[in-house]
Amino acid sequence: MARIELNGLSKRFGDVTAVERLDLVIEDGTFTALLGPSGCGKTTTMNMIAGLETPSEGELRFDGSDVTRLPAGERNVGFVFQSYAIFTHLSAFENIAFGLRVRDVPSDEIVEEVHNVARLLQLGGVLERSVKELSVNDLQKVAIGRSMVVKPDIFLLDEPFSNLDAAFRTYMRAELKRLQRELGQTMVYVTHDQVEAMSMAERIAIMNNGELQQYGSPDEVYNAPVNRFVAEFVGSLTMNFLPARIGAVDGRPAVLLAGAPGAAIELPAVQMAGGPDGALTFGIRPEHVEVVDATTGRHDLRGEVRLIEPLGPRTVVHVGDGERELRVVVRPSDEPRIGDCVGVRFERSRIHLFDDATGRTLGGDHG
Amino acid sequence: MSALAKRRAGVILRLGAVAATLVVFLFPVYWLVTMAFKPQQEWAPTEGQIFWLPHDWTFGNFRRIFGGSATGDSGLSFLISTPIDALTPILNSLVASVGGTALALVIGTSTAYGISRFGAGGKVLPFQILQLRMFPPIAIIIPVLFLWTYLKLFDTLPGLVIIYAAITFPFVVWLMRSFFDEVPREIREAAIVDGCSELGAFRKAVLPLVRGGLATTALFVFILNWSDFLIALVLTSQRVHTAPVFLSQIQSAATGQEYGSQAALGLILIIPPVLLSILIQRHLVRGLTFGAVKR
Repeated sequence: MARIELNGLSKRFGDVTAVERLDLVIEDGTFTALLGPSGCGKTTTMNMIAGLETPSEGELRFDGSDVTRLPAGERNVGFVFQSYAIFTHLSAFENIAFGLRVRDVPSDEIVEEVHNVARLLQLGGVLERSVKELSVNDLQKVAIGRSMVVKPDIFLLDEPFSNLDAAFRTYMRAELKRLQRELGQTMVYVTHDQVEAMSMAERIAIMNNGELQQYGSPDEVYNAPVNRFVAEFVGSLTMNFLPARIGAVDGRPAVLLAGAPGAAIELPAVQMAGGPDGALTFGIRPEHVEVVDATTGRHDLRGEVRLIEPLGPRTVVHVGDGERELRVVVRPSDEPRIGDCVGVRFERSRIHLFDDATGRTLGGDHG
Repeated sequence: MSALAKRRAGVILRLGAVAATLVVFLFPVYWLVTMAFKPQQEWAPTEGQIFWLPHDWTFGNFRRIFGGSATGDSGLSFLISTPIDALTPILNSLVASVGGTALALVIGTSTAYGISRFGAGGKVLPFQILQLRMFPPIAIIIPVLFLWTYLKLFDTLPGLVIIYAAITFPFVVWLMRSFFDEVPREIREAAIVDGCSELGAFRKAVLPLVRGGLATTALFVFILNWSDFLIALVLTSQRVHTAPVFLSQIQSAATGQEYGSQAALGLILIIPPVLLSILIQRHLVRGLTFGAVKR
């Protein structure tokens, strides 16, 4: 168990900056996800924590002690690779036992430890088989077992489930979360899949272009994104973004949606504090838009139903008015028909405003 | 022509081609084997009669190359030729080939790993190594002879081992490099995170994955060394003559080239490469080696 501290950590490969001055504290025993699109620097960050890459700048501390230059083998971390990195010349048992053999653990202890891990991962039946005969699912378990068996202080997983089929992936996510709770280890999980990060992690660090964008709980990054990138990246349905500008209605400050006369939304002044005079982007998640009767006047915008995507428990309706198209989540029972003219209404407390120049969220306590 | 007849004609044509190829390739082997057991009178056609098979089977040729006499009695044959012994040249060949192969594998494999995994030598080094093979060995053999004489390596086994290793080193590097390239980098990283040193990760995780390639390379290099004639001819004298050089010199005043004895030795020289190929055949099939890593 360990608390991981990244202080101004940078990594450059020639002219390319993979990670730029990253500050991050991962608390002992937490399950943290490093989330971002491919090439955002999350894997490089992970490799620096593991000791597979040496930082160009900055320092790395485990439980307060500087490990920036400590060889990987002495850091007591477990690493599960996306490609499993199974040693195909060894049996499943020997794969799991690898770290113990390197540490010259006595044979009888190895047998005991490997069987403990196999029990935990429900790998009992395949231990003596050659890994060439194992299914992809079992291979992934062997890879996890191999890094678990040495009881690492820190468990690092680099997109471990991306090669698994969907059903087993869901199962393994739950299993991994259970394991982490039982073992109480610090677990860092790299993924580009925000659903995976949201469903498993206690804390999510979102990265883009080598820089940390936001670090917080799943709830925070979902409900209070600090910038447009985070708002767009997080959420299984992409947030709706509409061009808008700040104006006034009857002397009170309001957001005016571009090209939609009358589409003015009054907001508490505080939410626009610090905003520029001119253009900004208005953002709202599809879950926070409501389809309303277009004739009652309760609507913020009006449009025609263009497309309906049933997703089981909910349905996504695309409403367009020529200028723009909005995605709206409705209950399947409330599904409109294609071609219907409907109104949409935005849930006031769920509106996000982004500075067009910097992408940063305006107002609130993080503007 | 019906489709069936066409297909049958195709099969016949193919079998014919296979048979013709086999005849071309196996004829020298057949001739070598039969020649090895022919008595001297049958080595060359006499009175227009070609001996397709030995009339009088004999082990005389084998006795002859290991110090005995071809006819079995100790009488006249001594006058025809001085006794010879192929045992020492064969042992010289074995030591030089195995030693040269081992040395080339050790140096070449580590070089290849450095190039493949760590980009050692940048883009230039691998090509410089390949350039070593861009001229035939004969082009440099005379300068090497001077060098070897100066270094007191002339006509010594270490001298042969070193030159064989040097000449086959580029092959080892290029072959092994391509095998290492196929091993995912995570294999090394996984071993290192699990506590291996750099050398330990190489030995315990990476090397076992390329053992098929290593076996193939070893066989290839061994055959190159084993069949060398030119280098041994120039760089050795009587003391450490290798088997191929020795073979070329089996002759006597009475009969000229002793074809039968040469064939007998040739037959013996085929054995080690064949044995080696059979021994490592299992490794020559690379099969699933990398299958489990990425799908």
